[in-house]
Amino acid sequence: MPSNLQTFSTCAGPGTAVPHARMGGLTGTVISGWTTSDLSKALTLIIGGGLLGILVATFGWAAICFIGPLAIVVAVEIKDWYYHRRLLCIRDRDCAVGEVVAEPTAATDGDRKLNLLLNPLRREDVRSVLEDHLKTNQEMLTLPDPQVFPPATFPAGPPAFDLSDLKGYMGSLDPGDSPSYVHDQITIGLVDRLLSVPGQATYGRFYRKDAAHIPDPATWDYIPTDFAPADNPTSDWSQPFARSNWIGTNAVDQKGGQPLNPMFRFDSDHLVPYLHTEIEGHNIQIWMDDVITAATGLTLGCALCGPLCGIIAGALFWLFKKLLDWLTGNDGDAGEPDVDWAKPGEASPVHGRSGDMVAVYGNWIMDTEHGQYFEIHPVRAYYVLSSTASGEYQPSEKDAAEAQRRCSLIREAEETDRPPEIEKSEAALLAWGLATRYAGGGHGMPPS
Amino acid sequence: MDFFRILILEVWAALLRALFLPVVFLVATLFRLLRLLVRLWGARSFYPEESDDGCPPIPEALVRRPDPCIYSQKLLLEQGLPVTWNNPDIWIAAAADPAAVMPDSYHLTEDTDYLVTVRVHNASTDAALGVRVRLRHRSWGFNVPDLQPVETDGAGQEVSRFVDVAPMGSSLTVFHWHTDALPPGEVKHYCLQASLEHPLDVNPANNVGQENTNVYAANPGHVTPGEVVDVTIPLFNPDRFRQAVRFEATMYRVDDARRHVLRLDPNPGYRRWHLDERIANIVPTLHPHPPPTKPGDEGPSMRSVRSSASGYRFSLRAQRPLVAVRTRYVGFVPVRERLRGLDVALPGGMQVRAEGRPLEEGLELEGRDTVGVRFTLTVPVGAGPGAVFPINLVAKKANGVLIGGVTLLLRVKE
Repeated sequence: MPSNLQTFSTCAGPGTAVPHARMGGLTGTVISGWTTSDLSKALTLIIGGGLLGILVATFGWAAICFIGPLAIVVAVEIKDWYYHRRLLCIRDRDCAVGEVVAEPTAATDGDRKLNLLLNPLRREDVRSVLEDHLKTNQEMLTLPDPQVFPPATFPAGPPAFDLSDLKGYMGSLDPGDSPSYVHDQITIGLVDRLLSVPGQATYGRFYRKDAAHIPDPATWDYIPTDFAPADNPTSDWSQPFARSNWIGTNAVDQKGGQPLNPMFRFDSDHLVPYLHTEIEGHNIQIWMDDVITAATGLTLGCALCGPLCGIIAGALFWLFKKLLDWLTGNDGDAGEPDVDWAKPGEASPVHGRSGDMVAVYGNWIMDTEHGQYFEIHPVRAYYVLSSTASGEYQPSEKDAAEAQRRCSLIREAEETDRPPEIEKSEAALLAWGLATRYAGGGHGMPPS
Repeated sequence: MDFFRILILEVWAALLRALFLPVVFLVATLFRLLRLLVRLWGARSFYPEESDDGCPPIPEALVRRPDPCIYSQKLLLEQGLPVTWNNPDIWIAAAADPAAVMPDSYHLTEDTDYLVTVRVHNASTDAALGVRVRLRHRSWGFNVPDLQPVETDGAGQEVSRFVDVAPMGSSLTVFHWHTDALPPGEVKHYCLQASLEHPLDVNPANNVGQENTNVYAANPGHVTPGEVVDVTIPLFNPDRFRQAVRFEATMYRVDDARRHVLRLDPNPGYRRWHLDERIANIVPTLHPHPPPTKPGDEGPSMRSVRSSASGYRFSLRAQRPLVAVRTRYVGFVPVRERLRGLDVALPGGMQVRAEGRPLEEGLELEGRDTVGVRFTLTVPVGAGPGAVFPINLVAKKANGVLIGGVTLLLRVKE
């Protein structure tokens, strides 16, 4: 048994993996109607309100009983989309090695987010390149060009060019809720500079679409365009006015007129581009199961003894379910529960610490939500190569071949059963010290 | 069509939940109250101190814990096993001819480039990634403290290597070593020390291995039958007080041809649940479930029924009780017993004396002091040409604690 890890999501192919606005079904229709335009939003309100009005007019307050079946359908659709039709498959298993940018954080869906600055990039080098890139583009960043600084986002024009507070300046280039055009152009240029240095593009596939790693044409076409030649006279991102006015259709959102969509994320606190990885939780499942449980109670109660009975049954069912979850600590969070080992022994917990050099192994996907970035999701194995304290690690992935060799070793270790018996030389056993200790908990149970 | 099947299954699971919930809740609550009562019965305080970790650990099912290791004399001696300082995991070849591995490390020449290969093992069922390997040398002797890097960069800084080792496997890494120039006729002894470092090493006790070398101004350095070999070995007292030191001599080398069978030993980890929590976990649920990428990659302990709808699995439990499984290989007892029973006594006709006295008499040494102890080894008269005598000398404190050891490899001229 290679792994005992419980995961929840599966990825899907292009066209099947869609954002919530395109999930289809009853829920998808409502969401789509609400998000497409103001007109469709109004139509959704009118139709929904009309239907509700007809139900209330016909059945009185017993119309509430119709919510049960509707809620079940909606919850099932959301659960199915969230776990099986949200993530775009790129590679079934892949490896990434890098430095933990910040301590993992918990997400609403119970996942634990872990961001990596990929090898061999280092924070201080990235910062230096970013400063160079900004200085090279000082003229572009100070000209009140409405294409670069649209008045709607930058009513006061370009922010003051002040590199003494690099973090503050990068923040000022991205003042809105969604990434600004100029911020994306600057970070795309930064990544282009970083990956242009020989030996630094070892894990470039996680920062930028690479046809060598995405051979399937349908998948390639589905992933948004994340890079195009710069529009400056040299078509070079390392030269002044490093930006691209490329506009095209985003196949995931099915929206035209979209600019370049970076496949990496940029950490504004630590000023580095990173690969986002997620250790899976299952909070959404719990929420949807809560809804289905309550809606079933409502429907049953309505059918047996009327609307009031349905409301009470729905509330009771929900309450029981929540109490049972509370009793068992079923919170959907990806954190480690307390564990009792059949054979007790030492196993101090491992925390993801900022600065740790780690290797993660899991599915390389693109999340169709959240701006469509590459991710490793779910993480299936976590290797610590160097802790912040020891800090002596020197990256060995100076070239793709070395990274490939390491990933092959990880894949072999993760996907191969441990045989019930092995034969080893006496020299090996003596090197072990004639004793072994338990490894990490990622193994499956052998057949009894 | 698939959606309706999932819808029906979800409703079915919800109906079962509805049926189970009140009963399960009542029983679980009853047991919970009982447990609370038992706890309060013997409690001195109603407000136990609690701690809350803001950053919960990485789930154990994801964490990989390696055990990089090397033939470590100290660890083996502590188990009462015979050892050699002719380390089976360190060997040397001339840089001019890397394929020709030296049969031993006792006949090296001065002012010469050598390649020192270090074999790093991994005793864990998890891969060891990024193991730092350091190779340093110190003047030969019993626990002489001054360690110098074997290889340095242009700035004079120590050069380390980083290796990856497969589960239960081994990897090689090579260091460059240039031996010192020596005056004619002089012999210099070195002890090479390889050490391994990894932040999640499950057993750091097996990380330091030593290899003795002799560097000669003029090769060879072989012995003849009946010859009395005179060797002075530095002995360092690591403590601050005067103490008695005794010596032991054995003849032992690692039998690399012998093989042993080990068996897998799984250690399942379950959620720390009381009876009421186990009962409360009986909540019929349709779990989102990725189809296995290879047959049987789900644990049989799930006791669940796979639904006909792909991507889902129906289970009577809300959460899996089995959280993680740790593994290792065991079966060392017969190996240890065999090694402890080995006859490692010196061959007939071979005598070893320290300062002209029998080894067991030993000597006394001032605190933090280093002295050169003169050993004489008499090669058996009947030793045939090409015979090799791996003599291991061990220095121990009066209480039996190891100070250090060296191996003298005496090869009879052919």
